Amino acid sequence: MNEVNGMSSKNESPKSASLKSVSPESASSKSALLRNPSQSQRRFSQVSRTAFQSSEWLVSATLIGLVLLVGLADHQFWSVANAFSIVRSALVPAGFALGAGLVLISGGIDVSFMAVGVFAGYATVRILPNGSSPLIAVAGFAIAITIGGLLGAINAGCVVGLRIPTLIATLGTQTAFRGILLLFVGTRYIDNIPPSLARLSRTDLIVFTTEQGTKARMHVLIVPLIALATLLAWFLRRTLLGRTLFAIGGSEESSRRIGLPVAKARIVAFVLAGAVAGFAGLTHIVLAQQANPFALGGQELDVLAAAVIGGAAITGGRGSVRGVVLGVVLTAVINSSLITLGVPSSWQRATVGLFLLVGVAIQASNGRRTNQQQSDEPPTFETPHAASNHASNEPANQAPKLSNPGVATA
Amino acid sequence: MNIVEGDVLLTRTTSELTSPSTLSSLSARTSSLLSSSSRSVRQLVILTLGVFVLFSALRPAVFLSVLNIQLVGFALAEVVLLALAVTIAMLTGGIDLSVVSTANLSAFAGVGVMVHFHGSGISLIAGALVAILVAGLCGVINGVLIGYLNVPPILATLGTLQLFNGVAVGVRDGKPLSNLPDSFTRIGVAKPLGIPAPILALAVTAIVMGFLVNRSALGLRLRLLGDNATAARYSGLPNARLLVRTYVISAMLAALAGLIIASRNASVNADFGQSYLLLSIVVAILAGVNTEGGFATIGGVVLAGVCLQLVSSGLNSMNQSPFTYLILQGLIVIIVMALNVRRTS
Repeated sequence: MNEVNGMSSKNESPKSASLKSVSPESASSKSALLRNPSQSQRRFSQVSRTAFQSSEWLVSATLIGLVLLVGLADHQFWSVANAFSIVRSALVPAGFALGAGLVLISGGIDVSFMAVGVFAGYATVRILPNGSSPLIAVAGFAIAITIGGLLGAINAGCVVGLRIPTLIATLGTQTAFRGILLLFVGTRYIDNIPPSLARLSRTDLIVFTTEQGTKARMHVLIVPLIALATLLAWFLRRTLLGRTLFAIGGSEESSRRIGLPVAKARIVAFVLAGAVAGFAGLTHIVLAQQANPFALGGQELDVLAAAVIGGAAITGGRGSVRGVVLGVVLTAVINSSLITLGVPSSWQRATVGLFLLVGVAIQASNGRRTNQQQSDEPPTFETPHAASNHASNEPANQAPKLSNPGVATA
Repeated sequence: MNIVEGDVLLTRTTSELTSPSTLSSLSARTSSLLSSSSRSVRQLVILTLGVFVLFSALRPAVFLSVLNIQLVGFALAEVVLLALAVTIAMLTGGIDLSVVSTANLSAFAGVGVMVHFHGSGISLIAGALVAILVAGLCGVINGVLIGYLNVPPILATLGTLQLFNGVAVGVRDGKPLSNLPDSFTRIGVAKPLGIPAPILALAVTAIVMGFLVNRSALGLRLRLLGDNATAARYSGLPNARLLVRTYVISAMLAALAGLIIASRNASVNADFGQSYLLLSIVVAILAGVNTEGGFATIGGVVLAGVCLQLVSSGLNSMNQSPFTYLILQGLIVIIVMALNVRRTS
């Protein structure tokens, strides 16, 4: 604690000295945030650490419980093939959720990620040349990520430049993006995607035939996704911009007074979210082996709720890559369970909506309890420390750990 | 440390309380907003007239035809009613994304009852009552989630949007409801006193809503709640109950819209009107409704609805793709919000 005091007095600027907060650590400048996490995190992370972990424990417990229960009803649910198919169905939502989670952590809500993803993916498919070399596929992903990043920059311009509240801004840009895509790029439903992408869609990382004769396939695109998740986790926990996102989500005004680069962090968050959405959009096209500009219409809830259930508070300041991934896996398992349990397809939408609502409501009640505790304390920067505390506890292992196999249905 | 902490807490609460939500400062702020609102209403009138003139000049033959004006009139009622539903939710600082799903679900219930009791004299009334009841239930669900369970309105209504839509799909196994009784479908195209019935319903509803928001105790409480929820709570307002009432009102407006849609289209479809959701939000924003709560003009919402319908039919008369309208809606949201922020900051 003395170390941090020493650092804060060294780096104290008039701005931070005028802060009404009490504890010296909270008046520490940005360098102290990065330089000495261990002291402060033990002091501040008490409250948020409990809440933070509790949501992840809850999700993990629900996940395990659900898998056990459904597997008891139908043992095929525990097969490796089913596990692989669940992972495959979670790839695209995970991509979207990572981007949406970034914006959620910074205190905003982005509902345009699907429109961005579809735009980037569809436009890429239209532009890609016809060769079947894997280099073209890689170039395709680069193009999709760039387009997504550009669209994200437009979002950033509206939110940071024009100062429009994020929800309304992204509602507007979502419509505009869809409209521009449909009007200028095309409305054609593309069945024969470029050969390089088609080849990619048939490439599996692991494939084998189980004793029952079903094929268990783990698609190769899980590798870039894991890399992306690891990169984002590192960004969020170890870079100043990433921790600034947490700070903005916690209290934008305080962050500004401390001197954190609020505008820059916001812009980076939106551009990254857009780029990730572009990646996810092209992944969707590759996995589905078709490109439909009208696709991914009403599935924003699944992604947003997954991120929130995994601990990314909608008010911002809280969340982690691991939590988001857990939330997405839980949603995928719920979807798969419904099919296994034989819920009629016409009722699946209602059931998933109900599950997500319950999860979000539980999350909200948890969050409220913590927020009330927090409001009695002076504003601090505990959340970035709590996040880094988690980083030190568990190694960066962002892949959904499915030790429970299941059946390849659907 | 404790004393200073206490001071921080006290100062923060006091500053939250003195930010405009004592009654006098709210009325002062409202009257200053009203003068700016009459300015924004004037701007809206000018915009609407401008749009009308523009399209009349571009395609007088198609745009000014009687048929076109009738079409504008018919779709107007449902769009503005949905926009009013969203406006009421925005008044309290929230948003209601489930209006279209509520409309469809309550229409299913109401029209289903009408079909079931077809032939008996009370089938229409019974159906309407059932629709309102179902909508009330939907509104209560939203209100409980948002008011008592503290789920953020965006997430809660995003969830209920899917839930209500899913129930409508599940109950009918995805099939739409057609072959509606003539007595019902006649209402949608009826023209008492020469004015389309939906427009009459809209006018009555708008007057009632205007009275509710601007001159009733409930309306005042809702505006106070939207303006500053913390101060409202400290002033003794029952925030959670008010929020439930808000979303019940919103749902009932949606039910009325749903019934009008069903009557006009002579069928009820669980997935109908998805594009109406964003459109109603655009209408609310164009009308100058403060998305953070506390302020809304009902007349503005009606006017904004007229303006957007004129734009839509104008684009139609020019054979523009419907996607152009989509892009315009997005642009309108961004431009209006950017201008609004500039005005208030």
